[in-house]
Amino acid sequence: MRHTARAAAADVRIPFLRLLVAGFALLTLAFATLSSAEAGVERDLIAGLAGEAEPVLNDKSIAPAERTQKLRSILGSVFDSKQMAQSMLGRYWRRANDSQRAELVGLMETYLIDVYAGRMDSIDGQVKFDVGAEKQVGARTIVDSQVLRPGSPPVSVDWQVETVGGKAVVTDIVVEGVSLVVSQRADFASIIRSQGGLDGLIKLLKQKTGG
Amino acid sequence: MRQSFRSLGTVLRNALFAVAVAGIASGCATLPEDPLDRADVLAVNDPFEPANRMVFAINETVDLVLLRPVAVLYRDFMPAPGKELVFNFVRHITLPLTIVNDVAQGEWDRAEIAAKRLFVNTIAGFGGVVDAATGLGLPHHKEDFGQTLATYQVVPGPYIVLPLIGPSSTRHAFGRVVDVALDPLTYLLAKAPVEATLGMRAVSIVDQRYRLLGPLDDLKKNSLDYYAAVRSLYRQRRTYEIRNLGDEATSRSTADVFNVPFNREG
Repeated sequence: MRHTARAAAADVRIPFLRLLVAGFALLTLAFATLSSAEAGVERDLIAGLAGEAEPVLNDKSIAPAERTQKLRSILGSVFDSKQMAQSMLGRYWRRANDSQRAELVGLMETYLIDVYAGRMDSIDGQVKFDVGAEKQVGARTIVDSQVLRPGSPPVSVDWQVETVGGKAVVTDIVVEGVSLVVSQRADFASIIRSQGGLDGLIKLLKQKTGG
Repeated sequence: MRQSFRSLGTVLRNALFAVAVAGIASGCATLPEDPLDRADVLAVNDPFEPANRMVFAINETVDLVLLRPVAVLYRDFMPAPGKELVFNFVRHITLPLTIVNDVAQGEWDRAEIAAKRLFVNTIAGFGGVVDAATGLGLPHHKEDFGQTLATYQVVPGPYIVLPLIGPSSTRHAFGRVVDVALDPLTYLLAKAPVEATLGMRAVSIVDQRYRLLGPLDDLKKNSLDYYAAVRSLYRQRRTYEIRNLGDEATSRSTADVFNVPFNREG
């Protein structure tokens, strides 16, 4: 079953987003079951995230609005929105003035966390989890992992953790080969180029986040 | 006389060239002045973006009125065990082509796994509707000629959106055509009624669209530019598939994704 589903994931042309949905939350849950004895700071970070998110996701008696709120605050504590905003915007970030930067970091934080909280929210069912090795790639640490759910294709989720200002933070999530940062960078760059530069992007993000 | 033939040839050649250039140019986005912006646009490698967006929009319409509704019906009315049988079968019929491409890539171990899998599931899996092989250590994987070309260092070429088929590259599109000729099934089914081939295609498409219901709805809802988001995801997935990172018949770690600079939207 596990193999069937695993291969299924590879077979579907673009299964990334459902996987992203499933992966993020399930991985979170699964991390909770890990022993952190052998883990580094990076794994501890994810384990901590899992420990907080697990009860929230498992307890279906929590009101939807409250759950979303809780997930948002949990995600907010591990996502480094400034770092993500910078790598998603690339050189457009360097062109941005201070007020644009401040606005973008705030908007992206809301946007990313909204999207992810929504995705986590839409998941139910039991989860099994295989954690892979922690791997050093340059200055970044990749915690590679597999999420297994009965009846669904397993999901490969890799967490990129970096130390920013002495604090370990999540700076990218790669689900089945699809990177959050790379995807958002492409989406944002297209808007910046074709719809009025950074201000155009800010305007659209405001619409998306209802701000 | 000879001279005039030659000049006629030159004129014709130049005319054809001019027409070709004009044709390409009319479908092309203009490059920005700023050198950095220009480099960005070139890196995205979508010179036919205006034309691609048009085809994308048409595909979207077809999807909205036809494919998606069928996939929703399939989701709601096909019982889970039925879906599993369909899924197994849809994957099963891709194996002959995968074996050919594994061999073309020199991936003997993977070819062997696929061949054994084909044999086991044809016999013990009732023609492929049951997956008996995975439990025996013969996991599924899929290869196409576009991937084979990639292993021979052929570059993907510009992004193109094919009518009805969707996101592709010149390499991938060319590979699709070659795959029809390479696929043993093409010859096996040559004498079968055309409905058999069409039926198999239809079932594959419905199964695939059903699997993409969640991801695509989510992407449409959460992306700012759906077209650009799909383009990026297509490229990332394709890179992942070409490097055989996404299946169990490989020993490579998915963390290798981070080691490839070209994976990061190149």
